[in-house]
Amino acid sequence: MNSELLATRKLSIRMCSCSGPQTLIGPVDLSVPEKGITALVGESGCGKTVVSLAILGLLPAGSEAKGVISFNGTDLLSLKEKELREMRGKEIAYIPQNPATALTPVLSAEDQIAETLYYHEGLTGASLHRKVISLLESMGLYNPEHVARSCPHTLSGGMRRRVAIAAALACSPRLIIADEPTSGLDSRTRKNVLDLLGRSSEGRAMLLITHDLEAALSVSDRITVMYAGEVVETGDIMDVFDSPAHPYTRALLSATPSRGLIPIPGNSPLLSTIPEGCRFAPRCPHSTARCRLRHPSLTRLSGTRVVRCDMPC
Amino acid sequence: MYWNYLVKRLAISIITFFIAACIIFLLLRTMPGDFVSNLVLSFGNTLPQETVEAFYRANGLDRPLHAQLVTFFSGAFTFNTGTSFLYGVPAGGLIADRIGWTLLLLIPAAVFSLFIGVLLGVWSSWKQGSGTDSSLLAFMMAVRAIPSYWWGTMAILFFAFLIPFFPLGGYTSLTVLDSGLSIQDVLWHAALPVVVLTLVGIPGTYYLMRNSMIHTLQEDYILFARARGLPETRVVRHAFRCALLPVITMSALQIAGLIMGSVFVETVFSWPGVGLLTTEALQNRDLPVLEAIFLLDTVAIIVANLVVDLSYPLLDPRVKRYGE
Repeated sequence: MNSELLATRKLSIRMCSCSGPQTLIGPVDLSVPEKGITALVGESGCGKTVVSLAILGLLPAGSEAKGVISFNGTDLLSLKEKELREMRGKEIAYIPQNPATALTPVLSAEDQIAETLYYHEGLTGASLHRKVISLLESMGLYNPEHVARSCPHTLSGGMRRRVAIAAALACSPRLIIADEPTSGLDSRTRKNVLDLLGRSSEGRAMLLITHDLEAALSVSDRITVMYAGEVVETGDIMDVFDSPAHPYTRALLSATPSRGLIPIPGNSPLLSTIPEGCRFAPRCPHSTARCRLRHPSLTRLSGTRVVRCDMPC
Repeated sequence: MYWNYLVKRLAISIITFFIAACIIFLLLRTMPGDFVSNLVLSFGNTLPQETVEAFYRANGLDRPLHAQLVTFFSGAFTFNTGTSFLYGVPAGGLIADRIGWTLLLLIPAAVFSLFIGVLLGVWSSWKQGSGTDSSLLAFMMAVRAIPSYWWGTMAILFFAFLIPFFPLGGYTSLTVLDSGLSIQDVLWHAALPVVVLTLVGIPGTYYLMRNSMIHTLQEDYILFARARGLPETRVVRHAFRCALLPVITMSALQIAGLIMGSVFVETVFSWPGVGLLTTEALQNRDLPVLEAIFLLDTVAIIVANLVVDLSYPLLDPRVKRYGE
C-alpha cells in the first residue's frame, strides 16, 4: 500500500489583506502519497502557491498558518525554524515557478547546486564537484562542465530550468513541490520538462502545482482541485477526469483545449471577498438557493474520492 | 576590444573634464566682488588707482573674457592656474603642501563611512520593520539633514570642551616647538574631524544599501535559496553580492560629498588642509587657488567614476568582460 507522506488537516492561512489580517486560505485538506505525483489544480489566485509556501514554512512576513501539516508523521507547523531549514532542500524540495529569476545572477551554476549539497550533506572538494557534474548530467545537459562554470545569464531558459531543478533535487528529497513548472512554455518544451520531472520523481512523492489540467493528466496519479482558497475535489486522476463530481471540476475540464475550450462564466472571487455559502455557487449552473446560504463540507464519495458539493454530479 | 573600450571611456572623461572646467571658469567669474576690491575696501579706499589697475594688468584680469578663457585652459591641462593673489606663490604648490593633510582625513573617513554604511544598511534591511530598523532610519535622516559643521561644532563642544579629551582644533600640540611633529599627536588631533566626516558620510551609503537589499531580498532567487534550506547568513550573502553593485557605483559620487564635507569640517577644526584653503580662497576671491582646487576635485571625481566603471566587470559577471 502506498502510504501517506504529506497530509494537511484543516490547514488555514491568515494573511495581511487591505483590511487587516484575514483568513484567506482554507480549510485545505491535502494528501500526498509516498510515491507518485499528486496534482494541485486551480485557477490563478486560488491559493495554490501559498499552500506550497506554508508547507515549506516560507510564508511572507505577517502571515500565519493554522491546522496540521504532517510530513512523515511530524507536524511541520510545530517545528522550529532551524529544524524546518534542515528539512527544506533535504526532505522537501521546491522547484520554483520562474527559472529565469530563480538563480542568483552573480553566482555560477555550480556554486548554487554545490551550496545545497554542502549545507545538507557536508560534501566538499572533489567529491562535491563530481556530484554536481553527475547531477547536471542526469538533467540531460550535454556539457555539464561548461554549464557548471557558467553564470545564469549565459544559459538559455531551458538550461536554467534544468540547473534550478538540479539544485532543488540535489539532496534526493522525498517530496518535491513543483510550482507551475510548465507555465509559459511551448508545447514541446512543456513535454520535455514534464518528462524530466516524471523521471526525477520516480520512487518519490511530488506535489505538482499547476493550472494546466492536461499537464496534470499526462503525469499525475492523483488530483486535488482548489477553488477560492479551499479544496473542492480530490481523487484518483482517472476517476476525476472520467466523471468529475464537482461542477467546478467539470467546468475546468470543459475549458481545456481538447474538450472544446468552453469558458467558465464569471470570475473567481477575490480571496478577501468570499461569498457566504458555497464559494462556487455564483458561477455554478446547478446552484440553488440553499447552495448560496450553506457552505458545504467535504463528503466522501468512495475510497479516496472526496468532494465539496451538496449535489455532486 | 578592451583597449577600444578604455580609449572611449578616457575620451568621455576628457570631454567631461573640459565641460566641468568651463563651468568652473564661468562660475568663479560671476561671483560678486574680486580680490582687489576686497583689498581696496580693507585699506579704506586709500589705495591709488594706478596700483589697482597695475594689479589687474599683471594678472591678466583686464583682458576680455574669451582671452582669459584661453589662458585658463592652457593652464588647466598642465594644472598651472597661476599665482595665488593672497600668498604670491603658485596655486599648485599651495595645494601640494596641504593635500596630504586632507587625505589624512578623507581616506579613513571614506573607508569607515562606506564600511559602516554598508554594514548598517544590510542589518537594517534584514530586520526591516523592526524597532531598531525604524530608529536607525530616523537617526540617519537626522544625520543627513543636519549640516556637517553643526556636527563638528557639537563634537568640539562635547568631546573637546566640556569633556576635554580631544584637542579643540589644529593639527598639533604646542610640543611641536620642543620635540617636533609626532605621529601620535597628529592622529589624536585628527580623530574628531575623522569621526565627524565619517558620520556625515554614512547615511548616503546606508540608505542605498538598505533599499538595494530590501529590493533584492524580495527576488525569486532569495525564496529559492531559502527553499533549499540554506542558512540565513548564506541567503543574506546571496542578496548582498547583488545588492552591493549600485552602492559601489554610487561610492564614486559619495567622494564629491566627502570633499564638500571636508571644507566645512576642516574649517571648524582649523585643520590645515585643502578644505580650509578653499574657505580662505573663497573669502578673498583668490581665483587661481579656487580654480586649482575645483579642477582637482573634478579630476578626483572623474577618476573615481572611471575606476568604478572599469572594475564593474570584476564585480558583476553580467557586465561583459571586454577582451574575453
